[in-house]
Amino acid sequence: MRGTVWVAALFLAAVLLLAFASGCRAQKPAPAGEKLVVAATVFPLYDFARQVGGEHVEVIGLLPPGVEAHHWEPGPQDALNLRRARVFIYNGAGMEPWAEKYAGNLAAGGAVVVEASRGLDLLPVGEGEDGDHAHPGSFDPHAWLDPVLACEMVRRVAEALAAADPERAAAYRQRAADYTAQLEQLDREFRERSRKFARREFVTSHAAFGYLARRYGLRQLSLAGVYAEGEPDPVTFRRLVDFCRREGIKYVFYEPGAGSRMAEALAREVGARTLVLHPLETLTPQEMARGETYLSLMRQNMANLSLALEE
Amino acid sequence: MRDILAYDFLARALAASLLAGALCPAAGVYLVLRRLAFLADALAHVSLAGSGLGLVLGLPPSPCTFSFVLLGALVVERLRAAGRVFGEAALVLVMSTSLALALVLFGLVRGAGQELGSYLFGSLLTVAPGDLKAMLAAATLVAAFLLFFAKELYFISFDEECARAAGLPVGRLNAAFMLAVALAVFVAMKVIGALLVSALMVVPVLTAQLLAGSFRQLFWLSLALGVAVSGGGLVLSCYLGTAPGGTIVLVAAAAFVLAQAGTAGARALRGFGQGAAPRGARRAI
Repeated sequence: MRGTVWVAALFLAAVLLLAFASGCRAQKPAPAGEKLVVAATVFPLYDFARQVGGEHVEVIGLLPPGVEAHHWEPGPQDALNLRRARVFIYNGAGMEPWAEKYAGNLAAGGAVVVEASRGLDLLPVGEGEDGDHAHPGSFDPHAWLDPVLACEMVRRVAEALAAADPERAAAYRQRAADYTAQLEQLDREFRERSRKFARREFVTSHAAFGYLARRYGLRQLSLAGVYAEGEPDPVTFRRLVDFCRREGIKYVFYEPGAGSRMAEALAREVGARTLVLHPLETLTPQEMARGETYLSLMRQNMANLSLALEE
Repeated sequence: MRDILAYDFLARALAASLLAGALCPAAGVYLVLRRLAFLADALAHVSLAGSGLGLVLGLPPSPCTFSFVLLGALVVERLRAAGRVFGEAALVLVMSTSLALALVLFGLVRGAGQELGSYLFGSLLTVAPGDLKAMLAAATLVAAFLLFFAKELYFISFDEECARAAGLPVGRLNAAFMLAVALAVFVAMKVIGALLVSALMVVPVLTAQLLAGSFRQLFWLSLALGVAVSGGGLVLSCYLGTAPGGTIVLVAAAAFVLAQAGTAGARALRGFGQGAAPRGARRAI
């Protein structure tokens, strides 16, 4: 008797599951004139989609303002938002481990899925970086902090929008070309400023700036690793203190948010000051309200780096 | 040792760990005797919630944590004294509620993941001069209370009813003792973190219990052991590159194992040599 009940229940569950799955597959083509819904993960990808899509798209920034990007996972509401999206843009390279799961389902459902960092010249983690543990076979995901790689990401975003909405393909490509021109301008400014830098090393709280450092011939030393995990042990911290004293480091960089304690402790120990260097993974609600963009924040980063490294 | 003191942050870390090392077992002695060892753990989690609230409201974390811990201590004492909930169950109630509150609060703030880690496991390297002053003030208060009321606390620990009958203001003393424990937890949070505070309060006392012959010896030996393991643990972590909080507790545990093995060995030898009944090393308790 119990056996039959179980079999019936299992059968019912299977039927429901099938019905649900086929329901998910049914993708409505967007009527003409309706906005293309795009979902993006980290802030730079959200901003790129916004810049390229302009008024033709509705961009959903999945990571809410102010969260710690490396430890975020989508909740039920986000999953519903994702189902609405016809384009899904994620960074990859270990930034959003949850995204790979969603990517397969969304692609099967007819959405265009872009892994923005795929095939870029990625930095392996733990290669000669101080204060970092080796993660074999893994990469630093913060590729957008290099404006040249950001250009390539923008092109990918444009192609994805064009594929999902072929009628406006030309408009997307045009807007992407305009925007990459601005990114190239940013790159030129960085290049010029970095030529004037008196020192090449900078100290950060979170090792997110490897790509920026590589592009402009700088070297990053950090208190915490690429994934912003934990506090350094006394030996690592002492090595950083020695380094800052030897090199006469005047500024220690931290990222906006609550986790500036270690940077402050280091700055206090070596008589330096703290400055913001923004990894751009997510913005605080205040930054969102101020209408900050990839370009505005990168220029702020450039200004703060100049302050610390010129002289 | 000299190259540790050459760094201000390590000198402050050492001072903080010595303070916590002395203070925690001093309060912990009474906790162990009164079978309230779990209390420190509960209060540490309360202070975690206080820190979370401070972060969310943008208030300075120390006063916020501090007032939360004091509040938590009074709540626990009320619950315990009212007798409507078992002491140990009251602790679980307070502890899990505040841990849940802490999780929710820390989840609201960007970058708080890293902060939460420093509250859970301590953050000895970031002890600021202001932190050290606050810790010193708290430690002085607790030490004064524990030394001044040593006799009364001792009496209550062994027989609360008798102490009451003898006319001691047991209720008020208990409340004051809870506040002292809260202060000790506040000091130890920075050093060793919420998850390990109770270890520093309890493990040195357990070790001293194996060796001491009287209450007075137990008290001072616990204190000395606490200072030794927390100073030693920090110095060790400076050479091994390990997490300071964890190293301190491991050193404390190692001291316990050594004392246990040593006293057991000595007893066996004595028993073998004299053929006499083994003298209970725990006779004092």
